[in-house]
Amino acid sequence: MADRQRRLDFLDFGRRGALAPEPSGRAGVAPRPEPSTENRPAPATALTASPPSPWIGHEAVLPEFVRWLDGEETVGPAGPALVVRRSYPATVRLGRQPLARALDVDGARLRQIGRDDTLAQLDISRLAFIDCETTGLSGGTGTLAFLVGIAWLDGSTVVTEQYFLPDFPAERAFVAAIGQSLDGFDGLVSFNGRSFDVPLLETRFALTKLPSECLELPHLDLLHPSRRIWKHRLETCALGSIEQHVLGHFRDDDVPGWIIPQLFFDYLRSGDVRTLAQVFEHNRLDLLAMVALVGRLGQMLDEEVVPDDGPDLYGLGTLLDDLGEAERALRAYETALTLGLPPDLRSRALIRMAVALRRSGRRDLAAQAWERLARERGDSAARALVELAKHYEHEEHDYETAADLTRQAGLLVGLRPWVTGPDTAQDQLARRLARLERKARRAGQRPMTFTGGSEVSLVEPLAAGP
Amino acid sequence: MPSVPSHRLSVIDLVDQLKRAERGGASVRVFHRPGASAVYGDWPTGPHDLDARILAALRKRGIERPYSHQADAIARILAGRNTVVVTPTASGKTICYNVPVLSAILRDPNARAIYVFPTKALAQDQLAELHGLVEEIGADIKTFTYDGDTPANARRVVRLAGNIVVTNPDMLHTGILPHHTKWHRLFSQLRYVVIDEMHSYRGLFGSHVANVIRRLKRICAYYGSRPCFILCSATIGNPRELAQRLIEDDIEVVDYSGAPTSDKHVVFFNPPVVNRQLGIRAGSLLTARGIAAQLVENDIPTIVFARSRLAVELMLTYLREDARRALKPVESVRGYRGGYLPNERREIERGLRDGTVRTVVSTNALELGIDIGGLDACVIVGYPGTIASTWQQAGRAGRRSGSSLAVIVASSAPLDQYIAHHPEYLLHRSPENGLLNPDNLYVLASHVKCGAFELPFEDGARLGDQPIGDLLGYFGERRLLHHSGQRWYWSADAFPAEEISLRSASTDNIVIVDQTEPAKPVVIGEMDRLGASTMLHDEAIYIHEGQQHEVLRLDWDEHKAYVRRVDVDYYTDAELAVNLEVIDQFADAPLGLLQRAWGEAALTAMATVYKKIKLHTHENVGFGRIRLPEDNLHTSAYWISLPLEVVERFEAPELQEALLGLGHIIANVAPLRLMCDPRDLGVHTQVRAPHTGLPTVYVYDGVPGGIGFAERLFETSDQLIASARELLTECVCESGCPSCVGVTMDPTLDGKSLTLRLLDRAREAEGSSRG
Repeated sequence: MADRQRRLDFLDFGRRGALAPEPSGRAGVAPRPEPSTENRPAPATALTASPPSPWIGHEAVLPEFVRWLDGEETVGPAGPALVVRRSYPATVRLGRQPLARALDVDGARLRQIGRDDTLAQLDISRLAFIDCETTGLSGGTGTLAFLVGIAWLDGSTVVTEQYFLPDFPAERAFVAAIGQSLDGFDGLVSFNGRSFDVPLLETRFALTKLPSECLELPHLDLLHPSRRIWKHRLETCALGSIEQHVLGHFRDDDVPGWIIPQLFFDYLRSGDVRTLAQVFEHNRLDLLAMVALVGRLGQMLDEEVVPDDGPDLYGLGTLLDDLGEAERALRAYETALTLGLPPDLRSRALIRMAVALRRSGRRDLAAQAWERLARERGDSAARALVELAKHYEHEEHDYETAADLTRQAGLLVGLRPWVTGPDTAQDQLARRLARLERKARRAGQRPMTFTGGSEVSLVEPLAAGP
Repeated sequence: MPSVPSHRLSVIDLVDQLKRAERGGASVRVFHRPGASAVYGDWPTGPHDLDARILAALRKRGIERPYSHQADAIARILAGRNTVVVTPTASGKTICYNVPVLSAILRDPNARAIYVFPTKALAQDQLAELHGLVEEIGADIKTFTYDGDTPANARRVVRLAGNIVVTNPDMLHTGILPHHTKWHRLFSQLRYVVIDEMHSYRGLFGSHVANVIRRLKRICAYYGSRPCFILCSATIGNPRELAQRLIEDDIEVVDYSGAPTSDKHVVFFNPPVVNRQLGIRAGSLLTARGIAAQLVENDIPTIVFARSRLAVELMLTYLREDARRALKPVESVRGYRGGYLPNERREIERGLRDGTVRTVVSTNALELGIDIGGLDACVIVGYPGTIASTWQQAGRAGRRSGSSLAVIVASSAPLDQYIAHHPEYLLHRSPENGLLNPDNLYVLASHVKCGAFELPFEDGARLGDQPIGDLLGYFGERRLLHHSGQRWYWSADAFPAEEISLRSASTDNIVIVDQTEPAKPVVIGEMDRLGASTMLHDEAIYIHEGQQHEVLRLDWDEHKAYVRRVDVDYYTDAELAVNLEVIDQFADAPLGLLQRAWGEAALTAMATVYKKIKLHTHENVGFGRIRLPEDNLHTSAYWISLPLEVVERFEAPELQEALLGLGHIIANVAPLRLMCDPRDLGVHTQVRAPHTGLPTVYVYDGVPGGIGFAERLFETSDQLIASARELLTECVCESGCPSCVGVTMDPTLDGKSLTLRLLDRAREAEGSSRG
């Protein structure tokens, strides 16, 4: 009887592991430099069936870690851990964006950016920017963080600390050191950390049986406001994309995110930390990009920087709308329309303008916005006509014009009053029309006739308007 | 219509009417099982007595005293023993676990329990019952379902606060165990694990579930809990063995029922022979339709079980015609099977309970314990393949009072004919054993990956009772695991549970899109890929809820089939071409003058052509080609080959017939020997096998990697041949029929006697060698 390993081969099992590479000669990762130091631990012989594999304790990796990554040892609550510390003068720019601008973002602005009241009392220099490099994106107990970057603003410098997990058994010391570092802060800043980094770290804290209060600190996730503003222009709102297209910073030689887990697994087998140099750099740049991004968001809310791009300005308008800053939102929409918007955003901007105007009681101006939208003759024209009809019905008491507008809306949606079914848009229109005709008759206005023509005439009835 | 009720026939009248069919040449055997009254026990007292609030709540529901089996089971469970309860449908088995679980939670509000049901539908059904009971008790006991339909925002609450989490094995596998840190409160306080419908955990599914339970126990141990397992099952032959294999622990068995049973008539209906020479009987589907139509006409609540999805849809079409003719609402006849969307199914279940649906045509999907209320009659089209399934299906008919009727209509299939001739086999023999093999390498290795993802394995660790050092090393080599500090850690950018389906080899179903109105495409169902290759190929007529749809295009890569409603007078039936290659031979031995062996085999299956078959007359009116990629199966196989000295005694065309006959009869007998569903096995014949160069008949295991059938057949070959010979000689046909050796392709040859000659070669030398 065949042994089980051979039978697994026969079952074609090895190839079923999604990303399981071939046992030897894997291509596609950066070539590894030759071992250069005598002290380096022997590479784990991963290819033998039952590897003896002593784990890569941090004592073993420390000399290399110091030599190649300029790292150091730090003593954490659960034993020694490995960390790389850097500091950058805040006067540095990332692309066009000075890092120092983040220092001017006060609690009020933090609260607005995060739409979270717990941020209002916070001081930006008491916040930890955090970003994890992980062994995958799928979550669950088998996905772990092997590099956790923490950054903060200290006077006129930006300090970064990157905690590194040299091998699985060191995880408890690694996690404890991260917890200790975070405990000194009042809040967290991340990019998508609410749904990714924090839940993942929660799992790691739980598995290493360490308290995780630090993960429950007030949390400013920059993903959501960024998406609000830039999603209309950018294909993806990943941090890298914003860094490039908003902050104007282009990375040289950046390592693509999807390859990072494999680089860590390669390091585990070779023990060569140089494999990961690019990952450390990538992580530091992500931290700096977040610092820069907070500054940029602050500038936009302070109207210190006005986007020169219609879609961005429209996005900013929607953010201001959410924050209840109606006047500034209206200004943003108006400017966005002037700068130019693609047709669908144009309609959406006009709808938002009209709604905001009506809500603030400027009904005539709202009607003007609906009228502009009706003239666009886009997908929203019917809605605009109905809103205008409401305006004529309730504000102007001009039932005839209101009925006329409703009829035009009917033509746009294909209304045939005698064939409508229940609860369709057509049916609602038909009921509205019937009501208006009744009101018009009662008010002694012109008797109504159905003037179904082939061409929708938006202009005449509006000319009689305000 | 006031006069109609007086003309209605009762169940008893219909039994008499069925008997009269004997004049038309049918063979009808009627068995009467009188009802039995209840045997009661007492609620346990002493150290493990029950909370008075539970007893009060049960009293409000009319339950004063437990049936004897309930009292017995509850006492054992309260004493902390793992217990399996084996009772027929509707004997109140949920009381057996709800009472001790709720009692434990009333005593300790932190206590938790997991209920596992094989399907989401059953979970929903049980949750409703549980909610009712909890409400009566009036305590703050939180019960939730947790499955693929649980909204994301509700999941957190379930994880943190649920006293009882009702779920299914698949969700445990992909949604709970790999995220166990989020469930730490559940796992650290877990008292009970309830596994209902245990009999459905057989074969491949059961082998997977046994490993999910191994993983569950591993996680519980990590959090310091050791739950008591409560299993419930419909009647099966080996409840203790199956339960022990599932939970790998000692278990106590309660296998009697104190519940009352209804008066029941069981009718075995064998349709008349229409062609004695070919041994052909009238079709079971049309015969059953006639019987079911009478039940529809007489307004008797009925369930019709058909064996395939296609048969369900045909039967539904026919019975709706009959309902229309009898002036009954067409909507009172409904279909029910896999492939219908969940809310469609819920609606049908509700209709059955409230009486707006009078007749339901189902695959075995309704065999399990979904509460559809009491029906009066059950028509089973074709023997369901196992004794256990037959009783589960027949148990669907039967209220507490009055008589009920179960009719089993035999098809020409050999097993059916065997049952029709020997009803006592079904009536007296104990039901099948549930076989599973948690150590199937394919299955075990899959769960080693999942287990490593959940928690690292120590050197020398086991999964359940299986040593897995070699598998850990294997995955280490393939870089899925990393070894350091005497442990194996998951080290791949992947989520293994998601790639491993507990139910079949393939996870990607084909979605069926109705494009009758091109502007408004509607998703009407889904189907697994193997099913799709024969039912959703281009130009197939796919029948859904009785409505014919023509398949416009099957997009294999996008997993979509586009269909439109049509009204045509034919249906389509596709053929599957199978090829088999032996990879490795594990053992061989003589079988009389023949040879037997077993080993690992690679199969490829490909849908090739389809036929258009006219409705009602079932005549062939056309065919077409199917162009789809082939499907692969790596499994274990048993085979019999014919050495040259045997081959020489047959003419070439004779040999072909004998070989096909042998394959046919072995396919019919093997499920009886193995006590498995015929669909779990496949048979393939080769006139010249590439492996041996000899004529060969293979029986292969339908499960990737096999669950032990091939080895078992190899070991019991003599009995296999003896049973085959018995079936052959007992068959009433002249020269071979579908019930024994299959239809002879060459009418000048006698396939029956040729196969008999071959079977005797397999016995002859055995006799001489012994003698």
